Amino acid sequence: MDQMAQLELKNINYTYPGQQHAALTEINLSVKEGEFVVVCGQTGSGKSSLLKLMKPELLPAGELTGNITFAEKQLSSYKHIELSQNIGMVMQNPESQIVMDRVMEELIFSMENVGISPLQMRKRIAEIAQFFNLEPLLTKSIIELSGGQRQMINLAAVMVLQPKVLLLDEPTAQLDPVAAREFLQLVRRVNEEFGITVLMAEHRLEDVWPLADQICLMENGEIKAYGTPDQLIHSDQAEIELYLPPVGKLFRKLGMSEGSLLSIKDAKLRFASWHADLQIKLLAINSKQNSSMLRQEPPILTCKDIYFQYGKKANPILQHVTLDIHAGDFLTIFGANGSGKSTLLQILCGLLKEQSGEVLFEGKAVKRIEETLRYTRFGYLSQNPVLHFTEETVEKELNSAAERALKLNIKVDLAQTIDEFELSELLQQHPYDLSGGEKQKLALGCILMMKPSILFLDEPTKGLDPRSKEILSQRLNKEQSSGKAIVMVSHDIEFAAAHANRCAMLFDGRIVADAEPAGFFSGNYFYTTAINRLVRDWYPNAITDKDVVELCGLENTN
Amino acid sequence: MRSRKYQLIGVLLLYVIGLAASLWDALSGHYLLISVVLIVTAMVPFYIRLERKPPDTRELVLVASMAALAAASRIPFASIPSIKPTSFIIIVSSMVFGSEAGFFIGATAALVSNMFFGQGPWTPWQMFGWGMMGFTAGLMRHTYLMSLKWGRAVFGFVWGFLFGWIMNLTYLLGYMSGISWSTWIAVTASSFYFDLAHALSNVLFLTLFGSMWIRILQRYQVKYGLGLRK
Amino acid sequence: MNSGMRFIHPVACLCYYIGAISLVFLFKHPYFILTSLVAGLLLNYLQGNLAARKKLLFFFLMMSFITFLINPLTSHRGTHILFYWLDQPMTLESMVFGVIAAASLFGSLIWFLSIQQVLGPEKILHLFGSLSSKGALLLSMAMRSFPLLAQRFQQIAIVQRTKGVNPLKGSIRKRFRDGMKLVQIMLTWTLEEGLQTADSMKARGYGSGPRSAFWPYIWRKQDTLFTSLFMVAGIGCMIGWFSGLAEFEVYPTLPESLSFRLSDGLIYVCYLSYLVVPLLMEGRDWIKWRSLN
Ligand SMILES: Nc1ncnc2c1ncn2[C@@H]1O[C@H](COP(=O)(O)OP(=O)(O)OP(=O)(O)O)[C@@H](O)[C@H]1O
Ligand SMILES: Nc1ncnc2c1ncn2[C@@H]1O[C@H](COP(=O)(O)OP(=O)(O)OP(=O)(O)O)[C@@H](O)[C@H]1O
Ligand SMILES: [Mg+2]
Ligand SMILES: [Mg+2]
Repeated sequence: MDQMAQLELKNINYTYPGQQHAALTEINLSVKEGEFVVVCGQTGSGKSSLLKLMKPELLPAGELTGNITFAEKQLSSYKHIELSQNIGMVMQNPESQIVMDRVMEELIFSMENVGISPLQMRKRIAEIAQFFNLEPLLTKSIIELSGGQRQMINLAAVMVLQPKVLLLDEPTAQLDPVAAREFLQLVRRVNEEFGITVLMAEHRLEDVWPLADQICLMENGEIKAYGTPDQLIHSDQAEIELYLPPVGKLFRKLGMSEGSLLSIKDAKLRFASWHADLQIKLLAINSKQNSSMLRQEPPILTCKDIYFQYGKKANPILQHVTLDIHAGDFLTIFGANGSGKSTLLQILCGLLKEQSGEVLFEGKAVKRIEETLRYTRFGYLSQNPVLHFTEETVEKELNSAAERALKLNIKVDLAQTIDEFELSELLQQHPYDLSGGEKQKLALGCILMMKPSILFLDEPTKGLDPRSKEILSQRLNKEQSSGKAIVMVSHDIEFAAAHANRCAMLFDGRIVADAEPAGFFSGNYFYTTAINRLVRDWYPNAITDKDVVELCGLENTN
Repeated sequence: MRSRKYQLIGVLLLYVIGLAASLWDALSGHYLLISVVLIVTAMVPFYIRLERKPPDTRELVLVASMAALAAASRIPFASIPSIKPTSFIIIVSSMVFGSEAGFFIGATAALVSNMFFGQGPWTPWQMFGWGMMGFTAGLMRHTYLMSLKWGRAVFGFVWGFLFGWIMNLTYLLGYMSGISWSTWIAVTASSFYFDLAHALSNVLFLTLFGSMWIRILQRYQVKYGLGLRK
Repeated sequence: MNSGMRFIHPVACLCYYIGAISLVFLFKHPYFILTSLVAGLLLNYLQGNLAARKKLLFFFLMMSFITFLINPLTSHRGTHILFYWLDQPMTLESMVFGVIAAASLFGSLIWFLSIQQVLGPEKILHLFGSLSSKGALLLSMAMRSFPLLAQRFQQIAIVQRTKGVNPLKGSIRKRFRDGMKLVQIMLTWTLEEGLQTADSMKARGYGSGPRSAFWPYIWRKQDTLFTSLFMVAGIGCMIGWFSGLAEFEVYPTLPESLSFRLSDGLIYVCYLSYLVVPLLMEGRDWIKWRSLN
């Protein structure tokens, strides 16, 4: 390699203060200028810790050994002010990173911190505003912006310092697919047009792999695999399987050994030539699944012609929403940020009152059901699971849920819940100290103790690693097969494609599509799985890698 | 820009001093102006110290968050008349984070709530009242009295009235014909019900939730790494 | 050209309003107070505050009314006794004093209302920030959090209703406990997020060295004009005040008449012109908009 490394980590070991186990062990990593590195791995594998190594001011004073150099100089020899100008960082939660209440002030805040002169400030703001198309937002108050816009402001507030390295810690975890893709495109442009080095931790694999120059797979604080996307897809390490983007998974399954999948375009060419070789007949996936939509028994929850707006002068959020939910349904509702998905969910379970229309549960108006009874039949999981927690430890939280259930004469088996949700080791922890997936599990565990007959889940897969998603899906499938209905709001197309049996889209305050997954995704352009985009010319109804393998008749060959 | 800062301070100081000096002659009738100047100058040292201290980002964020919470905490209590946990939050957070943080939590809470519920001549007084409530709670946090549940309750009760009286001063000094005992008694009597409600709600909050909140806040004191000073 | 008070340099505005409110307290002569009241109301009308802040105005009125009541009840100075109430003499003087106190209270509050519109939170923060940058940062962070917290209280309340926690229902005791539960969840949430905010500030170099300051306001010609106008008028008032003109003593005996001497009239002209300057500017703005629409 002729090019010198810009960032170099050698034999790093790091332990958080007061912890027994090291968060990072024997990290060796070298990143060249202008490279785009994606870091993946399950929750708690040390992704955030790895990124923070390069922002020493954010890393608690734990035990750190090893050597970090930036631009051939010891990182520790840089002053705080130099580091903040050279290395920028954007984190997961768009809301909590913003300090000021207006966009312009937020950009200025960054520059004031490092003592940039007012004249320079004006110039940089003008420049960034044009590059990011921020002009219409500059005078707005942050509270008026959507999540995607807020994250864009966070990126801009870092970019005004003109950094050389950009660290991104799951920056799209809270965004809808369209906003996330927009954000990633922006990052790509920053990387390509300014040559800024990017290190990004991300769970949204299908969108990120095509952008990456290098992939870094972490497990238990170690780097398990490191290489270009192509190398990793074709490597024979088993643990990679879980982290491959769907297209990569498919190629692996189909046994296609070489070739690049930088983009759907390239992958499509690959698939086309492979497919031509194979010469298999098209099977219709339609006939198999259509039957599930024709149902005889009456729905358990119906809503008719719902209209809703927050406050007198606000815009209408929902208009004419009509929906039936049957026992055994697993319905996923999609929609952009701010389209009113959470609002709809809260109306369905009676937490908000619709202005007109009605929601009926087993033929009875939901409003009329007494509140305590209502929330034993309905299980509601909020978009932000910590809002459910009132106690100081996981154990107390579970106990108080069990007590509530007992008061209502519901039989609960606390031990079994703890077991099923793998919470036994976390009992003494504070609920806020759990990882995203663990919080989700705890909240869900408490809800399921009430033995509800419908589950309303608001983005349950947000920020989860592939393994946690797998566990969640098993759990949900179990509930579904025991006759419960599940209504889920989500941005996670791949998850819904694999597990839901119905998908709906909320747009302009209405349900604009409602069908089984294959019918729902095929024909969409944005709102569809990567697999579908890849193979739609051959198999318009195939949406997961499993479908394609099945359709190609390769089920037993690999 | 240092120079602009000093220019501004200079201009404003000259302005205020000029006003005050021109009034010296007739001070007898204009308690309000003098007292506003006094009250403001009483708070200035805190802000000067804050400026001089090396910046501690986490402490700053923590104080801002607690102040906003104190100001906003009345929202869920809208349905219960005259019960608000604002003073309670100021007292317990000052007991954990110390006297200086306590002053800023109180003073900032007052400013913020006035920004949203209407600014007036009472603003500096309210800042002073809540600021001092936090400051004294912080000063006394290691005393025997404050380690007892009823001791904290007494503290809250006393401050319920003190706060009301500080607020009454705005009124007494500015709009009454001087201060006499009878006007003082009349104004105090007219605010008695509110002050009593304030004092009692402090007692209620401090006895029922004081220990729990102190525990929670101490957890965050560790998490924010704001060293447990003696 | 933008001509309303909002377009005047905030430092000039601040000085002006400090002066205007001081004048309310300095001159107790009924004509003066009446003028200040009328000018204040007119200014607020032009700025659209009378319509927008009705509730607050009502509150101001109540406060002023109480002020009026308290004075005769507690002060029995004066010579003209009107009647006895609970064996206490109610004097004309203390009544008049009550009216004056109430009017000047209301007047000062009205001017405060106008300040709030002219010097919005942003300008106040900038002014405050040039005195204490950390104090201003503290305030602006807290101010940003406030509406956010209000929104979040709704979210928490919704989620907690599924667990039977609802501060709008049940006995006072239950409402009290439930309300506190919500505040406590909010506490943990806010503090947890605060850690991330602090990280984001540090990552962007807060506390890494001396800060620079962005000052978006420019001193323009119209600011000089405005400042010199009100300064001249203000100095005139001061001179008058020092020479003891336009005094109005209620106690011990109410003056026979409200008549003005020529010298009083001169001071009055200064006083009036001080208060009229912003009216002219707002009026110009108002007429311009009227004619545009
Ligand atoms: N401040 C801290 N103090 C103590 N331990 C910590 C701290 N932060 C993280 N850890 C621990 O270090 C390990 C690595 O955490 P890290 O946050 O780097 O994981 P991650 O891969 O970013 O996870 P996620 O996907 O949930 O963000 C975990 O076991 C975590 O519990
Ligand atoms: N309490 C509220 N008061 C006023 N407006 C609100 C409130 N809650 C939400 N909104 C507005 O209603 C719209 C729909 O919000 P909602 O949270 O239902 O969207 P969503 O589809 O769930 O978005 P996301 O994908 O970001 O979760 C948004 O424009 C939002 O700003
Ligand atoms: Mg992380
Ligand atoms: Mg939502």
